[in-house]
Amino acid sequence: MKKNSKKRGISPVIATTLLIAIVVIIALIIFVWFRGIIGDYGEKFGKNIELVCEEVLLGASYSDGMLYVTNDGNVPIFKLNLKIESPGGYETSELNEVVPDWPEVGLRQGGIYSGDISSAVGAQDEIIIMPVLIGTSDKGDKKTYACGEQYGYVIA
Amino acid sequence: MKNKKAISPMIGYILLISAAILMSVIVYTWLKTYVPNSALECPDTTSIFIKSYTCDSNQLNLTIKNNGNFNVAGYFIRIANVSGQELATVDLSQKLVVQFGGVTIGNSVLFDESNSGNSFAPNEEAINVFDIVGTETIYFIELTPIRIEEINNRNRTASCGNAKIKEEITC
Repeated sequence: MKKNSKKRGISPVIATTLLIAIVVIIALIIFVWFRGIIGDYGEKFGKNIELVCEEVLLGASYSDGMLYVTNDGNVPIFKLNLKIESPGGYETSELNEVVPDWPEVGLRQGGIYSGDISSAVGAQDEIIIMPVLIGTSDKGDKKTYACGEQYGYVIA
Repeated sequence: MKNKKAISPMIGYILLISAAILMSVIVYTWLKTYVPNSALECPDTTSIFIKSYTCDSNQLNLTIKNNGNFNVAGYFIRIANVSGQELATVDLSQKLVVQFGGVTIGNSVLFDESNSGNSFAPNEEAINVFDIVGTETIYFIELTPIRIEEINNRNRTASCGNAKIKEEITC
């Protein structure tokens, strides 16, 4: 049986271009997907904001219903998350929801805050405060990032 | 089909290398944010301490000495005026009496009035006076040194939190 010699495929140039385009598109899709898994938490001081959590240095104490916090480090603290562990459970909330006078700009270098949180804390509760930082997303927007509990301060 | 040619090997190489470089740049740009770079911090042996103090109902006089190995620019000063308090949370920087030296910038006290950087050298002493009228009993003072550090060709104020000192006083 004689083959039809006029049967042609696409030109090698187009085939190569198509292959390269497909590889680049697949690479981009995998890249975007992988980034989504890791998460885009934003940057601060030119590095991933997760790494900046390690540089936070706070002084914190709690007595007679009053919470005292000082920012002794060089990372501005935008907010604080408050985790109150009671026997049989815990509750996490933002400190600015518990107290009305949390500074709008947060705690800058050397900043001090004291506030009454007695309404939210019981006698046998343990208090952990965790910093919330503000960074910049890829698009240049401001983005908050809550540091994990490993960066928290157990104060009572 | 002898005349049917693909792209030349040279163009093929260029395309491949360009694609590889482009992808490397994209991945590098993304990954470099995960690499820790130098943080804003003070040298380890930065230190100041309160050499002596006097106080009456109006003024608190502090003699501050640099007992570290590096110059410092100033300090954050806080007092505790509640008995049993673990942390000093009253900022005293706004109460500096500037006629006796020093200057208040933001919530910090700088030794040099002209704000010319790390001017307070090792072994140097300075007297700063604070107005404490209306302040209740002072139980202790906390001082946190400040240095001006250059990061990425920019001068930034670094709080030396690890060199914070706490001095109990009776005022």
